[in-house]
Amino acid sequence: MLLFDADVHESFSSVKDLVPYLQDPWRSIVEAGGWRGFSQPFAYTTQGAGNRADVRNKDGSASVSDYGLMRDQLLDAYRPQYAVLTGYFYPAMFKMQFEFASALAAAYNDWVVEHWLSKDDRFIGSVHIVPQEPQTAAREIDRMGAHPQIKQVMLPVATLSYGDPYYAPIFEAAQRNGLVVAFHHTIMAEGALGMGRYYIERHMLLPQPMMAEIISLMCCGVFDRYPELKFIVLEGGFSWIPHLLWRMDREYKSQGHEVPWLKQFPSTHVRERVRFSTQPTEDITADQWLKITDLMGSEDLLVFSTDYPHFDFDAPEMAIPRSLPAALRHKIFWQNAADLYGVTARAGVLA
Amino acid sequence: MSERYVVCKDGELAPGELRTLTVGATRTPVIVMRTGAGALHALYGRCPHQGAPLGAGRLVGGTVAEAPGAGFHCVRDGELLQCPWHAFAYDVTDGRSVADPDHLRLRRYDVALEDGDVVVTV
Repeated sequence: MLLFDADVHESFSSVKDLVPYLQDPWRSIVEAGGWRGFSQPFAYTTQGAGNRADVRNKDGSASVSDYGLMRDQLLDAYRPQYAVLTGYFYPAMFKMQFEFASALAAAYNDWVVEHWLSKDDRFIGSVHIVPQEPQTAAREIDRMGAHPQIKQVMLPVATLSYGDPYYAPIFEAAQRNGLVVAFHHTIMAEGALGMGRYYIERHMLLPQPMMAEIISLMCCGVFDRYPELKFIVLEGGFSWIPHLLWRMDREYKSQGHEVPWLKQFPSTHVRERVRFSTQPTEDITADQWLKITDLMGSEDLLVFSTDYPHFDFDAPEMAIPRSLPAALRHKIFWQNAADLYGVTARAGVLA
Repeated sequence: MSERYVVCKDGELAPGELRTLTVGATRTPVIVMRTGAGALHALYGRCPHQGAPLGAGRLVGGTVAEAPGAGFHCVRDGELLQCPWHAFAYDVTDGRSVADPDHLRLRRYDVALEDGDVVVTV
């Protein structure tokens, strides 16, 4: 079975790992401990502190930064043809000092190339940017987009609404470089009423900002202005897609005159150019899965992902019902992602 | 046809610890554990949700609180086996999921002390 993993999180062990990739004045700030990295405004409550509890170094300590461990536990264990590195260090979370944040993003991109992409040709990389500085972000996309393993731009989801024309240089650069635009939540992501009071509550809310981003892109004309761009929504769920498509189409029929740059039904844009990762799968039966597929009106929207090494990891054979039709499983596990990222199976591997 | 397997010496399994065995021709994974109170239990070693190895999990307790803002109390310390991946918790005494006892359940096995050995019957 051909497998593609659309969401894998590499990490450094300390922000000081980025020092060799920074120039002054930013390098001195990090060296001196002037900034120690992001601190999440909540506590993880599961035993692995946000990760699978069995992601351990040989000495028993928790690990999030070890390529060898990821190779053993993910790449060699499940044998994906490709795994997309999506990070979890998003300098877009800075609320100020965007020049410093942009320097950190560029340093992180260089660190990923050296410590991850260069070690395994199964990795596909993402460009990390600071959207608050869209011109700088566009230059970074141009710089990193030339790397043969880099095939997408990460747009971290917290509270920024990316349809705003302010972010246009980012989409222009992504389209210019033929990169997929990926949305993933950050530790600062919120639901419509904020983060909630509990971690479980926030985790339940994570699909909300993903819906909001699609609506923002749609109403602000991003789909129409950048006809070559393709998008993927990571870790935001998928069973809400039918509702969103119907709702957007219904509104378009009655109020589309307010956004005349939107030239076709929103559902058409989504079906043509947005893909959604499956993890974390709802624990639904094959019959329920088929009903959702029918309601979505397409078998081409879903892309499998594990989210390794996070605690809500999906194991391929267990997360996707085995009794789904083989052709649909093939699309979810491989073909939809292969089409999105423009990759082919390696020689000697049978579908 | 069940078989008996010696897990370890009595003193080698401390309260709060668990041990993973792979037994029989079918290579059945079995978790043998000792609760904080000292009781021995044995359960099937893979989570029925997504197949995670429960031997990489740990023994935990539950929480009790009346409402948001109320004091938290820890209960049943070490009597729940928590999955290392999605943190589903199982009652070590009967293998039932704490949250979904009617649909998620681990098979339990008899475990006993025999002449200073911890012995499980699978």
